[in-house]
Amino acid sequence: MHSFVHRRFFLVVLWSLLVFLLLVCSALAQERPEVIIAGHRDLVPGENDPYYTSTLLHVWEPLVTRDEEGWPAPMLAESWEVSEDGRVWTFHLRRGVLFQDLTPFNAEAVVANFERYRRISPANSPFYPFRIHETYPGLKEVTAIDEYTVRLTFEEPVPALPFLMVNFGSAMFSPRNFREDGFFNGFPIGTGPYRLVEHKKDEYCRLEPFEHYWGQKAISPIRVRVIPQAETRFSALKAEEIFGVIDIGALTPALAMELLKDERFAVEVSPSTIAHYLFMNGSRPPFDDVRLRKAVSLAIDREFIVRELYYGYGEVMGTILSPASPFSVPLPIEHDLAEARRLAKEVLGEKRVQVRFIFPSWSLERYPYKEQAEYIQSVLRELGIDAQIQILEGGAFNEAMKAGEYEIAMRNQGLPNAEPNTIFTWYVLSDGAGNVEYHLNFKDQEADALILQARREMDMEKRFQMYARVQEIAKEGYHWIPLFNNVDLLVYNKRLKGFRSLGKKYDVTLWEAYLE
Amino acid sequence: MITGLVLLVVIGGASLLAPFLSPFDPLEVRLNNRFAPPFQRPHLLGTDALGRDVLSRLLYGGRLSLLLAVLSTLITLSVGMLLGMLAGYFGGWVDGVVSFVVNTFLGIPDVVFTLALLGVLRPGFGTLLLALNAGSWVGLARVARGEVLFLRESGFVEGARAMGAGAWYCLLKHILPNLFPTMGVLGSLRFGGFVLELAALSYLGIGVQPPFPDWAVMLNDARPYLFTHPHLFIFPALIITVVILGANCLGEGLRDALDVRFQRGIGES
Amino acid sequence: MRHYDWLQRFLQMVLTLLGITVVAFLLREAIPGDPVEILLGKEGLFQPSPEEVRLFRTRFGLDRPLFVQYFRWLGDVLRGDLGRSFVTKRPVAQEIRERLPATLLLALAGFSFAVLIGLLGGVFLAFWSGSIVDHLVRVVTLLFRSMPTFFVAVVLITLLGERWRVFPTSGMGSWRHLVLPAVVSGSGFGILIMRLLRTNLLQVLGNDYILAARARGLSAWKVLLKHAFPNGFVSVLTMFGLYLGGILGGSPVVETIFAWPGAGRLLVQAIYGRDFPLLQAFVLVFGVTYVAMQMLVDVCYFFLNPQVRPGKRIV
Repeated sequence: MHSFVHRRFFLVVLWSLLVFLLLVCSALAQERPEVIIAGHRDLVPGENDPYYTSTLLHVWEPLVTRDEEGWPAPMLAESWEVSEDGRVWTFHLRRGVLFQDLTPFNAEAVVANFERYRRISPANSPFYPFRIHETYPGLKEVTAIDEYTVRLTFEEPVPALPFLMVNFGSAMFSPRNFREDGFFNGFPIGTGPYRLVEHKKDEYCRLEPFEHYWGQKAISPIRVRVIPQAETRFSALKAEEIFGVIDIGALTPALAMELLKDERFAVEVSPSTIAHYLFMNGSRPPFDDVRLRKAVSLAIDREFIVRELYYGYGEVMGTILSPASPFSVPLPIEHDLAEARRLAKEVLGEKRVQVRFIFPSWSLERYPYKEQAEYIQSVLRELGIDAQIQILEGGAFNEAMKAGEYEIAMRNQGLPNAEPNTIFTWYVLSDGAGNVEYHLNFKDQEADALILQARREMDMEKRFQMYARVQEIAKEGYHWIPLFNNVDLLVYNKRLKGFRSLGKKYDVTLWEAYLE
Repeated sequence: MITGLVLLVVIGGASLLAPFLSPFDPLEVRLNNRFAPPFQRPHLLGTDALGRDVLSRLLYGGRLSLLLAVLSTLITLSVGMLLGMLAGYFGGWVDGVVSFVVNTFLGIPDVVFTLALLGVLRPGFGTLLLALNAGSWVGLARVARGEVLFLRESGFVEGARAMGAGAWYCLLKHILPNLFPTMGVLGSLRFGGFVLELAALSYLGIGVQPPFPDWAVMLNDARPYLFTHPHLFIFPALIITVVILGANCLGEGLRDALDVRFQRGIGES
Repeated sequence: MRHYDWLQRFLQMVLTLLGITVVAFLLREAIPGDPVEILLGKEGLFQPSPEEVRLFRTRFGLDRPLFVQYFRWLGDVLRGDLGRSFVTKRPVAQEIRERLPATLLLALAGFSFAVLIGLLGGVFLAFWSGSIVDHLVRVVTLLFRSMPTFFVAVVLITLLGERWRVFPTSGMGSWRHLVLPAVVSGSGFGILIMRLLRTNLLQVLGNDYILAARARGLSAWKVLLKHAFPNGFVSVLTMFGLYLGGILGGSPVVETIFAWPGAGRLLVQAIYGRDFPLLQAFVLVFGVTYVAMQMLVDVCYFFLNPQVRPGKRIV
């Protein structure tokens, strides 16, 4: 009897210990809690989009990405070289990479993807349209030389190919991911650290770490909610329903400042390629005179705008090329009210002139454009320029610009890719699309020559100098007046660790994020 | 009703006399004095994001709003009541036509209307008036029609007709006064709606353009500063509330005034 | 005789529906801006080439004359094809079907809230008319109504969502997510109903036959409910019809603020994005609901007072 009781007792203890161990193990093995963040739009446009998701979600990876200085950097392509005549580019692919359906990433897959590019181009997207003839101008052939080498042959030299391929230009998916028409047959299968596991349009999407990712594996599952209104994102952060925000216009400067007063929050400042400009109608008086345009530029205190209206979150610009581009040169920022008055007097004499100052109503959701415009209006009044502000609906705004029914238009502009030639062609080249359509009327032979020449210039150093010179010339034209560069304010709850902005890479370290 | 009248007259008068009453130029930008807090000299109600005096802007801000709201309410009420009465009383093809027009207007989202107007007409006072009124009379017309349908079955109408009264006599003496109470309520609430709608139109390019002040626009401009500088929101909101309150007292007070008269009328017949 | 009336009404309905779609087609042409350029460009970030614009136009038949486009669309609809969204390229029917339930849920919740406070409030205020409570309620409710929806929403979200954590601040999920949006969405209408009902009841209560009923000894409540209510309810009923007719349009403002994935937001996006197939289908669905609601209201008039027959002629 005695030993029986003892044995019973011993068994009970053993069982309890086992159960206890199991509980402990399961607690340890429990997945990291879901990191919940929010953006103002759905970052997953879906099947009929060329990329399915934004790069920010890290579901797919490109051949070429950007480094924190803005230069093209290796991603799925480890290295590349170009032939002397610039027509043949050879890419060496990274080894040991698996797609999320566990098929290998190799040259064959790359060729299949290029095949797909041909089929879907031109394709629209809320991010960047995909146009094969713009990203890969004159592409003749794409061949797999061996399992990890791909060769791209072009009709004409393309010296800046990697710049054009950055991110959205070279997205790679599993060849089994496509329909006949080239779009997706299901969830995207990329090579990135996250898999898309759930998506409810305009509500949220869920990402889970991909266990066989080739690089630094992701820590936590992520839920990205869609909350269109900035004030609601603010409240959600405060109520700890979300722990961070993402994407352009994550939080307005005013709300961000207010949120940062709360000890629980910190901010990651993410530079974007979006900058604010004044488009000057150079095809009719009074701004057909460069002196008056210069006066406008000199009269505006950009520092004031950034400091007061954007709470210091922004970078003033003296050059037309956003500092997010590695080719941007820091030209001096001028603010000289006296000189501005003098120039205005020279042109206008004692007369006053009335001009139309327009901007689109959609910008009001993200930026304090109304105050900005009213400030500029008050400054221009001192020059003898009476600006009539007109807020126009998006479509009406475009119409007005095309019809030239404005004197000054204020709008933001982003860089479509890392190659500045695109933006120079639009706004600086004499018969550039933007220049002509928006009646900027800027003509400079030297700039024209440089822009066309740079397209074929193989020497990086020389290109840099050419682009620097173009910026100088454009500046003196004062037809497309840069104000300042935007930054995105990614305010986050301090309990969210590992959430960092990656500078000009325009990215956030989602894979390092976890909740405490 | 008196309260309502008094409130509206006071505010209307202040708006009219704004050039004499306002201490500062409502458009004057003073960048070194932004967001001055209220209840201090010299800016009694503080200053806004560009250093402009809030009190002055409030005084001027009502001019267009009040004018438009009053005009629009009158137009909407008259057109709505008239067409509603005709449709409800005469029935038949009159009702058919009016209901067709009304339902067509109702079936199309307002934004589409406004944008279409924007595309076709130049911004201006007339366009503004049209934009505000194009869609608003329809609801009233339907409500009026409904009431008239019931009223024409009532005893006194039948009695009047039995005595040989014509259609217009019935309409004016018996039906119209009975519509006033409902119209009073709806009209006064619409009045407030017009004041607020002006802001939305301004953001589409019709209506008040910056830097001119307008109550509803000031309210919207105060959005980013709701938590940091609430005075920018509170004062325009208060004024708008007072105005709507006044309109409502006036509108609903009409019922009381007319009801007494009507009661006496019934007693006679 | 009665059936003939209703048949006539039905035909009118169909005619009105067609009218709505035609007007919508015409109006969309008036909207400023070249829709194709707006669709292909992206807030000015890109310029579509003239070739692309031309291709797009021909592919979707936008280069044909307007009446040809209309009849083509009508033909498609009668065959059950509502077209594909210009923006997402998915079938329009799918887009609407995905978002409509959320809007309906919110609209009905808002409507229930509005009816609750409207009917209860209206009756009570009529009863207590002239008292301090009446005046106080008037001031408070009008204060509420004079603030733009946005502010009411933000105040509620901040107080109840953020500070006191009673309800979630946004999104759709449990019943708790529904409360704040429903309150914001329905409060304006509820206040309207409240004041309308109050006024109408007082108006009816002033009538002679009411005094007669009271003189006969009926209690105040009975008088209110049995005699005053039916006649005083007409306008409120009409307003219900107008409100319910428009529910498919949802409230884009409320949906945007509360991140509610509804059709109202979709509609506004379709308009600003010039997504014509989606817009046209919306107008159709919207139109059907409206017209159906109006007819329902006319039927209800009949139940309130069998003498009332819309369309009846008076010589």
